Amino acid sequence: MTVQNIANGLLQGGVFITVALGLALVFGTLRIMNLAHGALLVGGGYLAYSLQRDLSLDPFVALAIVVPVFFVGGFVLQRYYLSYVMDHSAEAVLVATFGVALVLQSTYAQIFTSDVRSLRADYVSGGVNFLGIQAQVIDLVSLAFGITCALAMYLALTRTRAGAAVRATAIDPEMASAIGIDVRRVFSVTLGIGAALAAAGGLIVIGLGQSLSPSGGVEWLVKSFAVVVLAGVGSVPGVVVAGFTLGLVQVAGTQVVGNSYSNLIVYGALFVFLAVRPTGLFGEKSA
Amino acid sequence: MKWKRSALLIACTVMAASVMAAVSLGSSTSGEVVIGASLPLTGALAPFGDLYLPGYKQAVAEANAKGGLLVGGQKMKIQLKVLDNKSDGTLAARQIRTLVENDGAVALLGAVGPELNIPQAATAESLHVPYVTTSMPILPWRLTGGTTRRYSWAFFFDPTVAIQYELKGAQLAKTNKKIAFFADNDGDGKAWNQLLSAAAPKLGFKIVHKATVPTGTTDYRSDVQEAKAAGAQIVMAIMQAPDGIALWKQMKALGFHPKYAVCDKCGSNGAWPVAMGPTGEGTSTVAFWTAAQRHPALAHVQSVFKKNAKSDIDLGLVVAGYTNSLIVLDAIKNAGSTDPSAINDAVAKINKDYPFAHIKFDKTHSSPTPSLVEQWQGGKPILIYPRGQGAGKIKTPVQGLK
Repeated sequence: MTVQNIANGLLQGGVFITVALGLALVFGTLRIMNLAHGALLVGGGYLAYSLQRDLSLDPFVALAIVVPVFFVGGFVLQRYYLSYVMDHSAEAVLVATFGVALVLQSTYAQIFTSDVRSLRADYVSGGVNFLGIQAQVIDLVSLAFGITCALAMYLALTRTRAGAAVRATAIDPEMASAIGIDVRRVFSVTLGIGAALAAAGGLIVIGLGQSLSPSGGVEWLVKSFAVVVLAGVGSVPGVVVAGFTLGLVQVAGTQVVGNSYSNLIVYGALFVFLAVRPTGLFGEKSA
Repeated sequence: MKWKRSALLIACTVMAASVMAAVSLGSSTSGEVVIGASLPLTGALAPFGDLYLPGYKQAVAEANAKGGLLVGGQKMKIQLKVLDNKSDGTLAARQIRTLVENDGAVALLGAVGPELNIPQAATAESLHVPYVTTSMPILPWRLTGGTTRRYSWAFFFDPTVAIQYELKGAQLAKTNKKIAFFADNDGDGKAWNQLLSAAAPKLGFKIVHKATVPTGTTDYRSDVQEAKAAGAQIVMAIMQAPDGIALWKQMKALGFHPKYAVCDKCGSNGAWPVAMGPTGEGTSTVAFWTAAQRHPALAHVQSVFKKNAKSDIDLGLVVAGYTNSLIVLDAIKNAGSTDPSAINDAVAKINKDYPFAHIKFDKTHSSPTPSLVEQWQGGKPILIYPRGQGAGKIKTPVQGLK
């Protein structure tokens, strides 16, 4: 692979990390596969789109509204709905989050119609050329955002009391409750953070870098899922390594067989890897 | 008690007969004619489905406002039954069966694109119910049906002509004749690939990069860099809007500035300039209808559809849907019957000017309509080819990608 291709792979990896982080946090802590994650990614973009269209708010400034809105939304969803569903069964939670995804998609279609939308920020629509390597500015922003959030999440989980509570809850909720941790609150805050991360990531990657459509989150859910599974449940460093790995595999595959088979190569490589190491790169032991 | 049993038996028989009569195909006992449509009102093709629906509804509303259609000496109102196929071909085909068998549709209006029209048409053929569609490029229609079609009909532009016109548009831009081609690997993409590969060399063009990708691809970095390195000054793309937007953004960011860039499907409706803003400026696209050509029904369609269409291109699609519905209604009236076979025979005899184009189906059950090439300039689609009435000046290089 040429240096440009490696750069492309790392940049694509940055995109994967950004979109997958929220899902990784929720999956690692609550042990639920949040099927509404794709819709949350797109939702962050749509909210920013509304703020830009109606209030001429810059998308990055809009993050100050998007993040808390989705945090509260995720918190409320977990606290007053998913908590009760979780008490019944894990399967019910899967169905419930799928239902949330469908409701969100329908809501987006109603409000924004099915016309494709896009956020605008001219200062990130261009590219840079550094020592002959080309990169889109938005890709660099996405990479910086993803790495920063991953680092912040890792430090919070491993260096703070709150993080310790989250890890304890993830390992054994009953024991955590027995030692006085408010498990419901931990779950609610975790889903809130996960939703906020998804919305912010979606604003950057999808809203600015790609385009928004009501059902466009499905493809990103699949990609996020691939990253999380490869990373290993509950591993933040794993998400970073997995993101970069999948990005490089995708670009390498494109070089060998063309873009027609890039998805097949990525998911095929994931399939083969998991057959050898089902727990993913870092399994459940790392925080 | 015997008489009670007999009365009950008679009552049940009468009820059963009534129910059977009510659900029979082509029922006229209710005084209504049912026509059905399965459209993509959600999913990737919804931007087009949303444009065809107002045209379908308007034609039916106009007929009903006059008291309905005169069928066999009796005025009958038309009921339009529309289902959302979510841009899914399998669901679309199933819904055709639902419309005919459950809803009693005696004729069907088509969907969007080969991926929906072809499975729907196949189902209509098996049910022996006429299916008339637009938004179905003629070449794939002919390739998949040949002369075997009996009940399915399509009118739309001929991509063979459209590709030629797009290449002629490229000649206006004075390029080095090197083309980078991008396409989704669906029916349209494969057809375009085949046609462009055949037509380009004949006009002195060379395809220096080609990328056919699954729908939903978002990463075009490598392809854009390779196209740039190959010296392409022309981009020709046929893909759904999300893919086209991703490609255009990446072309701009990676410094790929073609002199002429076509985005078919993606740039073919009014959502393009809204979604893309300045980046979409200067994109060209195939079109099928333009107000600049002053059709006889222009004032009427501009008046009734002004709230449905953001642009001339959108209005063309709405008018196509309106024409689609008018054709079916004319066929029902001309057949003088709600029998699907009689309606089908009447479709075959259609030879008339409609707001979209003159329609006359040939032995492949297709009626080619005019092709145009338009370029987005200042958020408006401007006709650049064919030259002549209503044509404007091409702007090159592509402003939005500079």
